[in-house]
Amino acid sequence: MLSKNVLNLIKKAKLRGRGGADFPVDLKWQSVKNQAEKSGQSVAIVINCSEGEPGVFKDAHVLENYLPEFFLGLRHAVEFFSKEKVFGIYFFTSTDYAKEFLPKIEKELNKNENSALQKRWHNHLKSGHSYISGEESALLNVIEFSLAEPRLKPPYPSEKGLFGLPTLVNNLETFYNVGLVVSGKFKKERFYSITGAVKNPGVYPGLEDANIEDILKSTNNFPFTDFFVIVGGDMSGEVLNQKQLKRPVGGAGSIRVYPAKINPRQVVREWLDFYVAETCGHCTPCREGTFRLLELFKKDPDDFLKFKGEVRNLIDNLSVSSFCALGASLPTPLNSYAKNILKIKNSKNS
Amino acid sequence: MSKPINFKLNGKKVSCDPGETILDVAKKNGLQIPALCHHPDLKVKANCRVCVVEMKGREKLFASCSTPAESGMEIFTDSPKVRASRKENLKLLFAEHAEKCATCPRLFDCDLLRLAKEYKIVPNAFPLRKGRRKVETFGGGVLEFDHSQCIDCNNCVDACADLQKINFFEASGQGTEKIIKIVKKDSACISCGQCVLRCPVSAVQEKFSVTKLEKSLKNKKQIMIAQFAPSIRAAIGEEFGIPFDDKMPGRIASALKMLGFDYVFDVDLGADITTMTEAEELVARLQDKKAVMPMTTSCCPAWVRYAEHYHPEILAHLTSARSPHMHSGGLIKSWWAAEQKINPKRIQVVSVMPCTAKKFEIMRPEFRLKGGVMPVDEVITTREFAFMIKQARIDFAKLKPVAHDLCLNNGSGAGAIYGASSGVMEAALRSAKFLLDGVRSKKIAFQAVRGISGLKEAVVKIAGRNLRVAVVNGIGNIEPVIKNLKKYDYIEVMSCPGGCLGGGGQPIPTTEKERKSRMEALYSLDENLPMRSAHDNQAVVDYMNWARKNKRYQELLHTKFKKRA
Repeated sequence: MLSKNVLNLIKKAKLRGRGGADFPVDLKWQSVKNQAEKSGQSVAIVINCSEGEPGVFKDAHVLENYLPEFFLGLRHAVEFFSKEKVFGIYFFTSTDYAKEFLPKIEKELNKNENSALQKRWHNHLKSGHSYISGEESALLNVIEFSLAEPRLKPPYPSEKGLFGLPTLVNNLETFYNVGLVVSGKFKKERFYSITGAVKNPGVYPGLEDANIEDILKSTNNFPFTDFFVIVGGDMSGEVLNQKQLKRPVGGAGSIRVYPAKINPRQVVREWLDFYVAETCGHCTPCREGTFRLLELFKKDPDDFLKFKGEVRNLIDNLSVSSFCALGASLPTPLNSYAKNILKIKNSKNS
Repeated sequence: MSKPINFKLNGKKVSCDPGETILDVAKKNGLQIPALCHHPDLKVKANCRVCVVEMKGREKLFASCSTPAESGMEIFTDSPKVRASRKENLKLLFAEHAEKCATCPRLFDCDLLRLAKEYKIVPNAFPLRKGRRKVETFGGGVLEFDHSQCIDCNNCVDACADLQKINFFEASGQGTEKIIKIVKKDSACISCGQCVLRCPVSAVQEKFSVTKLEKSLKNKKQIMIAQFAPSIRAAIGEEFGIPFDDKMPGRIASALKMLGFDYVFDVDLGADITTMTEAEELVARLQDKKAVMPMTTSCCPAWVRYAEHYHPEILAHLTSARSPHMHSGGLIKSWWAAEQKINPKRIQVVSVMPCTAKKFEIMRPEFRLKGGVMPVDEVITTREFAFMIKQARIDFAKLKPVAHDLCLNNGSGAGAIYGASSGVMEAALRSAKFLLDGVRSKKIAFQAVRGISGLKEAVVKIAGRNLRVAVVNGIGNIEPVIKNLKKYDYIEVMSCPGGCLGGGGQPIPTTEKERKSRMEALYSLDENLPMRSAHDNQAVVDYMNWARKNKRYQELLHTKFKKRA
C-alpha cells in the first residue's frame, strides 16, 4: 500500500537531499509538481546514482542491501506525480555499478510486470568516471546524448529539465530515505562513507547531524596516531584538523582520514589530478585554471604550497567565477588544508 | 505590461524590463562590459567568464550575460574583485590562443589584444597550451579552423547548428582535451562564414588572401581591377567608426585606388545584369507551361553549395543567371577588354565581397570564359579590405571620395538593394513586370517581401498575374520551403541572415543592430538613385544583346549546377 500523504511525511521528517546540497526534499517535489501543473507537462524522474567522488560509495551500499526500500520510495514519487503523469524514470549510474547491480535491479523491476515503474524505467550509463555528470544539469545533458557539461540555471531542472520537462532529480539514497519515511522506519539517519587511513573503511549509518568524532569512534575508526580529515564530498570537502572534529559531516557524508605525517605534496597532487581529470571544460576558470594549477605545482611544488601569487589568484578565481559548483569546490580542500593543517597565515576561509 | 525592474548599476539607479540581463542593461546605459563568448544571435553559454560582475552581498561573481537583472540588486561592473577575476580569465584565455596576428584579418581590432592591454596582461603569462594544434581547411578550401587559436567558446558550433542548421561542427572532448571537430569532412560546409562572424578570436577565419593580393598589386604587368559589392558600402564605415552616408562608394573607390588598383568598378552594374538575365528566365518559365517551377535565385554561392550537397533533386529550379560579380567580371574580360584593346589574360579582377563563399564560387570551372580565363581572379572580404586600408595607414574617414570607373554605366537602385534579403527578388520583380507588360511604373517597391524575418511569404501582383513568392532570409529557414516547393512561383534564398549585408565576410560584430542599419543604408541608396530598375539601364540591355549577337550568351551570362557528394 502506498501512503497518500507522502509529502507531509517527508516534510515532517525534515528530509534533505543526500546528494550533498542538503536541499529539502519536500520543497523539490512540490516545485516539480507545481511546474507540471502550471505547464500541463508530464514529469521526468531521475535517480542520480552517479557517485563520482572516489570516497563516496553509499549509493552502492544501498543498491547492495536496501533495494526494496529504495523502490518503495521511488514508487511513492511515481504515485505523487500520477496526476501529472510520469514521462519516464531515468536511472543514471556508472558502468561499474551497472555491471554489479543492474541484474538485481531488473529482477526487482520484473516482480511487478507492467507496473508504471517497469514500463517507464530507463538505464543511463555515464561514460568512465566522469565526476561532472553527477551534477544534476550535466547529467540531464548526458541522458539527452549531449556533452557532460552543466546547464545555465535558471531554469532549474524542476522547471525545465530533461527534454524540457519538469524534472525531479534526487540522489539514490534520498529515494531510499523516502522509503524509510513512508514505512515509519526513518530514524533521522543517513549513510556515511569512511575511507583512508582507518581500520574499518566502509559505509555506516549514523544520525544526520552526527559529528565527525562520534562517527569515527562509533565505527571503530578513530585513529591512534595524529591525523586530519577531509569531510563532506571527499575531494570537494573541507579539510579539518583533530581539534575541529565536533562538526557535523554534512555534504554527501564522506570522511577520509589522512595520517598527519603524510607528505603535503602527495595530498595536494591527488586533488589537482582529480580536478584536472574531471573538469568538463565548459568554463575558463575551471578548464584552464585547474590545468595551470597542476602545471605550477609540477614546476615547483614547494612554492605552490605557499599558496601565494599566481597560485592564490587561480584558486580565488575558481571560487568566484566558475560556472558550476565543481570548479568552485577545488578551493575548498586547498584553502582549508592551507589554513587548518599547513597553518599558513592569511589563508582564505574555504 | 509587466512591472519594470529597478536596480543599481555602479551606484546609479537604472531600470529595465524583466528578463533583461545585466550585460544588456549595462550596454543600454553606456557601459561596455567585456564579453567574448557572448553573441546576441546565439544562445547564452556563459563559458568565458570575462563578463563577470559583482553583486552586493554575494561572495561569488555573476556572469552578466546570463544573469537577469532583479529589483534591488546592486551591481558593480568594475570593482577590484571583478577586475582581478576578469584579468585572470583573460590571462587563461590568452594562453589558449596562439598569436598569429600577422595574417589575422582582425589584427587591427582584436578584442583579445585590446583587453590584454587594458588589463595589463603580460603575453605568455602561462606557456601556450595549444601551440601544436593544427589548422584545418574546410568549406571548399576557403575557410580555416586554427585549433591553436580556439578559446573553447563554442560560438562556431552554435552559429552553424542553431542559426544555419548545418551542424558542421561538433564540440567534443573533456577538459583541456576539448576540441571542435569537423563532423562531415568538407563536403557539407556551405562556406557561408557565419561561424567566422561569431568567433571572438578569429580561430575560424576566411582564407587570408591579402598577402597574395599585395604581390599582385606590385606586378606592373597586370591590369588590376577591383569591383565592390553593394553591401560593402553599407558596412565598411563600421570598421572606421563612421556612419553611412552617400559618399561611401566614393571613399571605397578612393581607398582601392590608393591601394594600387588601376580601375575600380561597382558591382551594382553586375547586379543589373543578373536581374535582367534572371527576369528574362522567370518570364520565360512563367510563359512555358512545361517549365520547372518555382524558380529560385542562385546568386548566393552558399545557397548553391547547399542545394548541390543536400538537395541535388531541386537544382533545375535554380536560375542559371550568374551572380553579379561573375557577370561584371565576365563583362570586364570580354566586352570591356575588347573596347580597351587589352588582352584579358593581363587583367586581374578582384572582387571585394561581404562573403566567404564567393571565394569558392570564383573557382567553379563552369564560369570559365573563352580563352580559358576566369571572370574573377580573387575575392577579398570586407574585413580583408578594411585590413588593407588600415595596414596602408589610410585615413578612411578623411578620404576624398572619387567617382568609380565606369565599365558600361552606373548600376540602378535595384542593384543597390541586392545586399538586403529580398533585394534580388524585388529587383527581378521590377524588371519581370516590365518584360511582361512593357509599362515603366513609378510604384516599384515591393514592401511585402522586405524586413528581417527568417521567412517572408507574399502574393505579389505583376502584369495581371498573382505570383506566390517566398524569401528565405538565412539558410536555417530553408527546409520547410523545400518541402513545400509547390506552394510558390518564385523563391529568393540568401544563406546569411539579413542577406549579403549580414554576410560571412562582413565586419565583426554583425548583429541585428548592424544588419538593420546596413539594410536602411541600402534602401536609402535605392530611393535616391535616378535609375531604380535594371531594365532602365540601357547599357545592360545593350551588353546582353551584344553577348547574344556574338554567340556568347551562355558563356557570359549563364551557369550550371551539379550534384556534389
